[in-house]
Amino acid sequence: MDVRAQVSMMFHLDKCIGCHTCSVACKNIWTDRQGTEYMWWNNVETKPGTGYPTKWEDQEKYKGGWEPKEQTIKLRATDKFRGLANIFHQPHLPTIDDYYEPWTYKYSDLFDAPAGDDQPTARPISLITGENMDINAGPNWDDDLSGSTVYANNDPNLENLSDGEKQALFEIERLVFFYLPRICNHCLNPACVASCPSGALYKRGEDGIVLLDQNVCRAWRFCVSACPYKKTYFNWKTGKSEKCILCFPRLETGQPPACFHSCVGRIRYLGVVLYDADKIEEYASAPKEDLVRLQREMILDPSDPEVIKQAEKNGVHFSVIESAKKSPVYKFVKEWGMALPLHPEYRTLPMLFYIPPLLPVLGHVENGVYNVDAEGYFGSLDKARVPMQYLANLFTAGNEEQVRTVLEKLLAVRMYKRSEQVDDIKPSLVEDMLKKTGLTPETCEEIYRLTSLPTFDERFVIPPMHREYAAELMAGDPYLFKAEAGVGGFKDRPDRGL
Amino acid sequence: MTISGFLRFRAKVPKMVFLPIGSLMIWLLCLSHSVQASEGEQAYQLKCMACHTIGGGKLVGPDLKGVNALRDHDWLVRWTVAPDKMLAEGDALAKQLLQEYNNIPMPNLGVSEAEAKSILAYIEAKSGEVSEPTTSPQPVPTSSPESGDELVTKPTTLSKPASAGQVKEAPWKKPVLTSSDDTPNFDIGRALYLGQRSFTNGGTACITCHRNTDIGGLGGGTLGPDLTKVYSRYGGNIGLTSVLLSTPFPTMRGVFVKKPLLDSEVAHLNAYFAETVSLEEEPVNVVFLVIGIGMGIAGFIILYILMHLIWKDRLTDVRIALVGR
Ligand code: SF4
Ligand code: SF4
Repeated sequence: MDVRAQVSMMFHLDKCIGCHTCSVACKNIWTDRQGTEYMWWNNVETKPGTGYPTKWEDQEKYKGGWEPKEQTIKLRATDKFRGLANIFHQPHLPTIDDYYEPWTYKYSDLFDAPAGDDQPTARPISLITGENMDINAGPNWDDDLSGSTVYANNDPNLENLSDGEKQALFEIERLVFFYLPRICNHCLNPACVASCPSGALYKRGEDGIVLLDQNVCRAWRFCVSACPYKKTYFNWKTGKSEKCILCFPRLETGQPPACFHSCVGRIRYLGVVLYDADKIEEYASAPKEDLVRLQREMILDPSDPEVIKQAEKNGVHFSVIESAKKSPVYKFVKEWGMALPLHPEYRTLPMLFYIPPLLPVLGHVENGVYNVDAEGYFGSLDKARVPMQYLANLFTAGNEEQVRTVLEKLLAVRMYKRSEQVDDIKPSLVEDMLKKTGLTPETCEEIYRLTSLPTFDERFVIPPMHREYAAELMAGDPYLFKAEAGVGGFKDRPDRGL
Repeated sequence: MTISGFLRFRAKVPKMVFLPIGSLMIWLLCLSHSVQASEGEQAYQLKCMACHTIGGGKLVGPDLKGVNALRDHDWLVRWTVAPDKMLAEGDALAKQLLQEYNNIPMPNLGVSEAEAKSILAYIEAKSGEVSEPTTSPQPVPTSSPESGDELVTKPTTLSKPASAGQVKEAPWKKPVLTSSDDTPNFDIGRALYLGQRSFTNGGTACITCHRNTDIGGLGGGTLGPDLTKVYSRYGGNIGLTSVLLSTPFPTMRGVFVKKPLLDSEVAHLNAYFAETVSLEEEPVNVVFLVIGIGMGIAGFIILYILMHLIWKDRLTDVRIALVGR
C-alpha cells in the first residue's frame, strides 16, 4: 500500500445556478494577461450542450485521455514514437476557432463619436489581432440552451439515447438543462503529465495538485491534446502552456481556491482524501463498468489504523490525516457513495466528483399537492426529464445502475426530510426507501446538513500544507525562499512575454 | 482554422476565382510589357552587344555609332539579316570588313528583317542621343581597348576581377587551377557547362540559364539563348573567348562581373562548344515541357492525398464544421 494525500473536490450540481461567478473570479486572478484571454481554467457549461472547447467530449476528434491496450492503457494522442515524429507539428491541437476568438469592445467609440441621430456603439475588436471582428463564438455560447438546434443536438453524451428520448429532451414543454462547472480534475493518472516530452508537468507529492512548470515547458503542447477535459491551454504570448493550479498559493495560506470561495450556489466542497497509489495502473486499466467502483475503492479510510500507519510511513503529516477524517469529499464520495467522477472512461482517475442533478423530476398535482412520486418509491426517476442514460454517459461511463443508485439516495433524503417537516408522506414509504438505499435516518440528517446548511469550514476542510517541510525536503534550508516571489517560483523573469 | 476548413466554410467563390485569375492577368501584363518595352533595344542587347558598341569603341566588331549615316540602309538590313550569305556572295564591303576585323566573320544571328530594322532604328536613336555610352552597359570592364586586336591578344587582363574602377574588390579569391587543367578539354568544358564542376570565381554554371541540344529535354534554363551553335555564331574560338571573358550582355554582366571566368575555363568551354556545333538546334520540346509540368502537378496531388492519408485522423475544425460558417 502506497498511501498518498490528494486535495480532492466535489461539486453538487443540484445547487449550481449557472451564474459564472466562479469563472469570473478565476479569470480576474489568473487569466487576465495577454495570451490567456481565451482560457477559462474554470468554465461553466450548459448540458445538454457542446461545452468549451466545442465538443471537447468527442475524443474521436480530440484524442484526449487513455485507451485500453492489452493489459494496460496508453495515451490516445501520442506515444514515444508518435511524440517524436510529430513533435514539431502535432496533429491533434484544437485551434482558436474551437475555443473562441476573445474580444473586447472599442469603448472609445462611445465617447468620440460625433453628435448624430443614433446612439453610438462600441465595435467589438479581437484581443488577438486587435482588428474589428464579428463575434460568432464564446466560452459559453450555448449557455441556457441557446442555439440548441446546433449545439445541444450535437452533445456527444446523447450517444446511445433512443430517438424518442432525444426528441423528448428537446420538446418545448419538457425542455431541460443543467449546469456543469468544470476545472482541472487534478487527476490521479493525469494524461497531461504523461504526455509532456519536456517533463514540465508534475503532480505535487504532498497534495496531488497537478502543476505545469513554466521554466521547463517548451511549447510542444502535447498536454493540450492529451488532457481529455481540455484543461491545459497554450499561452500564445509567452509560448508556454498553462493550467488550473487549484489556487495553491491560496490553499497554502488556508484559503479555498477562488472559484470555490466565490461560488454563489455554494455547490463546491474541498477536502483531502488518502488513496492507494499502488492501484493506479491496475484500476485505470479496468473494464469500463468497474471504473467508478474501483476508483471509490482506491480511496482509503483515514480512520483505519493500517492506513494511518502506511500514510505516516510515506511522510503524510498527521495533521493531514486528521484533516482527511473531516473531509466532506471523503463523506460524499466514499462514505455515502453519492458523488461520481466526470467521464471516468477517459481513465485519468479525475479527483473532482459531481453529485448528479436530481431536478427536475416530472411531477403532477394530486388533491392540490404537488406530487413527484406517485408510482412506487422511485418511479419518478424514470420520468425524469433528463434520461438516465444521458447522466450515465456523463458520470459513469454509461452504467445507468450507478447513477440510479445515487439519484435514489438523493430522493430518499428528500422524502425523509419532507415526511419529517411537512409530514405528508407515509412513514412506511420513507422507511422502505431508506432500506432500499441503505441509508439510516442519521445519515440522512447528516447528508441534509452538509448539503443545505454547511458552514464555510465544513465545505472547505483545507489541510495544513506544510510548505516548510516541502521546502526543507527540496532545498534543505526553509528560509531560502523567505521573502521571495511565491507564485510560479520564478527566480528570474521568464524569457518571453509577460 | 485549418486550410481545408477555410476552403470549405469560409472561402467565397468569387474571391477564389478572382484571385488566381487576377494574378495571372497581372503576370501576363508584366510579360507583354517587357516584350514591348523596346524591341530594338532588346534585340540589340541580345544579339549585337557582344561584339559591338555604340560610341564605345571597337570590340570584336566595329563601333556602330553613326553607322546609319555611313552605310546604305538596305545594305545594313541585308547585312544584319544574313551576313554569311553576303560573304559567300562576295560582297565587296563585306569582304573588306572581314579583313579589317581579323577575319572574324559576323555570324548569322537569325535576325528577321523587321528585327533588323528596329535594331537599326535603335542604333540611330542611340547614336544621336549620346556621345559617350553612359546609359548602355559598359561592354568591357577595363579602359576600353583600342582595337579588337588588343582585346583578343591580351585577354588575361580582362579576366582579373579587380580591374580599376568598375569592380571594387573581389572579396575572396580561390587559388587558380593547376596547370594540368589548362589544356582545353571537352569533358571539363561539359562539366563546367553542367555545373558538375564549379567555376573558380564562383560564377553560375551555363545550364542555369541556357539550354543546348547535347543536354536536351528540360536540361537547362530558358532565360538565355540556345548555346548549341554558339561557337559558330560568334565566329569560333576568338570571338567566343572575347564574349565569355567580357560577358557584355546585361543579364550575364550582373552575374559574372564580380565572378569572371578564368582563361582556362573559357578554353574548356570553347572546346565543348566547338563540338556541339555539329548538332542541330532544337526548339524547347513542348511535349516534354507539358509532361514535366503535368508530372509536377500530379506529384503535388499525390503528396497532398498522401498527407491527408497519413494524418487522416488529425484534429480538423470542430466548431466551424458544426455551425458551417
Ligand atoms: S484534468 Fe487536469 S490533471 Fe487531469 S489530465 Fe486534464 S489537465 Fe491533467
Ligand atoms: S459560482 Fe457556483 S453556482 Fe455559480 S456557476 Fe459557478 S459553480 Fe455554479
